Amino acid sequence: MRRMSRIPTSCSTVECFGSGRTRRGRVPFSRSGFGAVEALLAVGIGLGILTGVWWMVTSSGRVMERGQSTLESATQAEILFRHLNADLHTLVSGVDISPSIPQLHLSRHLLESGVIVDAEVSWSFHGGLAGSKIERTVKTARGEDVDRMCVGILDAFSIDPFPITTHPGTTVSVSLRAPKAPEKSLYQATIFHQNQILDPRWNPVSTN
Amino acid sequence: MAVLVVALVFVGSLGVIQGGVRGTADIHELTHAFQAARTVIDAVESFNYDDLTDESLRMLCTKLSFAPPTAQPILGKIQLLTYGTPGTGSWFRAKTVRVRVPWKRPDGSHDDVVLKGLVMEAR
Repeated sequence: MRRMSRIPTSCSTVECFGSGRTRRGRVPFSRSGFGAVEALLAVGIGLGILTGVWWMVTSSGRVMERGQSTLESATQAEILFRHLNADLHTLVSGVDISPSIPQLHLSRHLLESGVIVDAEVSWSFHGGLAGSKIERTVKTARGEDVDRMCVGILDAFSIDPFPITTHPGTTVSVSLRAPKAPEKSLYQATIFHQNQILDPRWNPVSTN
Repeated sequence: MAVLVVALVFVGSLGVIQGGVRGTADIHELTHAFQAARTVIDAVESFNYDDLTDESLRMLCTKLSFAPPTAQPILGKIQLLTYGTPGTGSWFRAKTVRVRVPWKRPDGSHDDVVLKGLVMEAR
């Protein structure tokens, strides 16, 4: 209680709450009119405010961590679908895609230094807690190039052909999550097969 | 007094944290809506110029599935564009479709992802 008596108070405060004696400077706490009950109340309120702030900060931190995990999954899914989009929109005419889990093989056109070359692309999906990865291997006459994507855990995935044969396409869905995050994020897109490089149906400029 | 100062500092910084939380929480719904809209645009572009009609597109879109809880995309009417260069015989014509996918933010407010698809013929 002695330490708390260092709280500076004004004369009017002392006059109002104290014993009536006017005194500038330090006033003993007991004389300022605050008893043990008030002190406990102040400490309780202070602790309550601190606890509330702590709870808000930690809960916001948890929500933010979940948000960051979702952001990471969304980014991963976007990278995946952008690559799939590029592959399935530049297919070599007449090549049929037969998705077989866990791999997807296709032949596509590729522009290398302004020259159109053919490439074989293989996608492989490996799920599970340990060693989750999605790999894209591109084979051209120059050699083989491997991209690995999917940071985190690939919980589930599916590759399905679009059911309407007049509009061939592939539906890919992936369920991703960060290693420590319980929430799974499901992403899905249907990509219709095209040959935007040579087929005049999608690339009228190619007829010129 | 010290407790109050600490509390004020923390409460002030909470606004920053909560802004970040809202931003990162939005990304999930927004990505879903964007992927749905892109899928529909891809469906639009899977038609050739003559086959693309409001009805044929609507029929195809009923076969599409989207990651839940994505709202069903709303298709606009097909718009026609034509352009020709006099004297050269060159021409360009296109059908464009506006696709709107509503999405809901975690705070309950609504927004839309809007993309436009185009199928064209040119000579």
